[in-house]
Amino acid sequence: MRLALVYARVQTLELVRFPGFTIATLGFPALLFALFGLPRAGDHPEVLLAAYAAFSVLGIGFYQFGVSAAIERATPWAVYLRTLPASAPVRLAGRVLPAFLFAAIAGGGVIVLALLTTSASLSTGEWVRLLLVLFVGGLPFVLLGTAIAYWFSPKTALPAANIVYMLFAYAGGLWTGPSDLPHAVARISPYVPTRQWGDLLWAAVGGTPMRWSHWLALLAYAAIFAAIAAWGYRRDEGQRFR
Amino acid sequence: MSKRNPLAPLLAIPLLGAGLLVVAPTAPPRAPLATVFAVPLGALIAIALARRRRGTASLGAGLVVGVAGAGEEALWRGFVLGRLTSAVGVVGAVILSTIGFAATHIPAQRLRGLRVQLGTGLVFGTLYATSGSLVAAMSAHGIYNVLVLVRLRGIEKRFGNTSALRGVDLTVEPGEIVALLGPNGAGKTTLVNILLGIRGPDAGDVQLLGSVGVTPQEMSFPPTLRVREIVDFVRAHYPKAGATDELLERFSLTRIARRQTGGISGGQQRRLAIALAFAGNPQLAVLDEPTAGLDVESRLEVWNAIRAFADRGGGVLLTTHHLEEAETLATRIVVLAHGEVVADGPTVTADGESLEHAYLRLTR
Repeated sequence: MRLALVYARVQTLELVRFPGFTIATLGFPALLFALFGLPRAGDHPEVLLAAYAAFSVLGIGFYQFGVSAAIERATPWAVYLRTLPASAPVRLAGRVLPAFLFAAIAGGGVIVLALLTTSASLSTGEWVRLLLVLFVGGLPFVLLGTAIAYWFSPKTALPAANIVYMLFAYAGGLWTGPSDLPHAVARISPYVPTRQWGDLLWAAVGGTPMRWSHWLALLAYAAIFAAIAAWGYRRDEGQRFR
Repeated sequence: MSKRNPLAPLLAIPLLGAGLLVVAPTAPPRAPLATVFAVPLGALIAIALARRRRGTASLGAGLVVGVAGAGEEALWRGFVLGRLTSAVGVVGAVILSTIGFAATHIPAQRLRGLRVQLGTGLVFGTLYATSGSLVAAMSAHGIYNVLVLVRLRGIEKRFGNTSALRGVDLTVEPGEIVALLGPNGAGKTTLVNILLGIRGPDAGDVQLLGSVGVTPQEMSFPPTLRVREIVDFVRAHYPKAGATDELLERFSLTRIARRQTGGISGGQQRRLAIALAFAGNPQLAVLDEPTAGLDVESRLEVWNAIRAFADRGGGVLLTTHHLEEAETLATRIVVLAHGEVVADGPTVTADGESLEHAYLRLTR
């Protein structure tokens, strides 16, 4: 655990000292909310607050885990790290911890903006449920980001992450809300992981019960994405180091 | 630590040796000397064989290879030599048991390792025959095994149709500075990467005992991290890491300790890369062309640091294109050409021959 914290500290320091990266990454979800969420906040600002906070977790998962890791693994520093006596779980934990820290800050930006500019209001219980769903429910997307890192080259990881990010956000109803999806997309939406996540988010802020089937679906997606990531990790080792 | 975990099969050897001795005990070839004399004698012989050995392997791996060596003595000296003595005499039994012992290592070491196995087998066999103490021979072989830090046996590596490494054997012992020489493309970096587990061999065994510090040939750092932060990060991986300030001082990095690595010169980056190999106070340092691109003063500093590390019992494997570096620094020189070890010894020159001539002769 101590070594994982050392990795997390180094990763955090490395990132926060790039102001361009930090500001863009942390500010992007709030910018999205200001441009596209605010005009539609209307009668249900809490729903949009939850959806755009989810964008921050999704973005961190895809870009910090996917794109950044894909670029890093091609560097001599990443090769050197493999010679150090640290296990894969320690390295992964060292990446997960700062990612959640960044996601919390980015999501916090959306929440503060929503509270300042809309009539959004949540009870203490709803806040707790929202944070729980945001971070525990966001795990499958962190794993999907990791899979992208190992299946795509440094040059193709960014477009791949963009496509998956936009498709998942849209088809899951995070962008427009499930009721506004076109008919064809609405039919496949219940099977998209972001929709399972969205249903939990909206239940959390709406005060309605959360269904276990959504949690189980997210768990299944987490297992699938973890398997794809592990497969990609082994494949990458085979290509690069054998 | 081993990429292929070659240590596990070694446990069969002591079990077989001990089992045979129990099932069919043999008498020693002569009345045993008191163990109190024989065991230290065996230890001294082991130390002489492994030259400047100090330090130990990691506990688990050291225990396994140490016990395996002792078990080999039980098998080849206690059982085989003991049985053959009555039939062919002591000298004949020593020779035959040594040949048998060496022959069993051929699959792993190829013919190149045969010389070493014949030598060590003869020494341990003679020790048993003259002292009559199997405990002494077992102790000596066990200690000898533990005191070898790195052992590569019969390493093969192909890239497509190109054979990069062909049956390479290599050991590094504590206190040794081994220079690995060879022209570009000879397979030096491939061998180092196999040793570190960055690449896997197509065939052969890798045993890496104890902790290892590394300076890769190609190195980059996260540009926003400070020099001291990177040293502390690497130190955090090792339980017996030395003090950061002392390390920074040794490699003349104190003045730039607070600077981000993106803002330091190439030479300073190289010194930092070398310092990291020693940051964890490891038992073995693997340095891939460590002084490439360094000025004369920095190179001398690095040489002094390497010598001091070896004097404290650390083993060093370094690859270099600078023949004078190998000649000045190394206690043993290994020349690799076309994927094969073509020379291995304290010196690779013939009488009156310069290292440069010897190198060209060996690598053409």
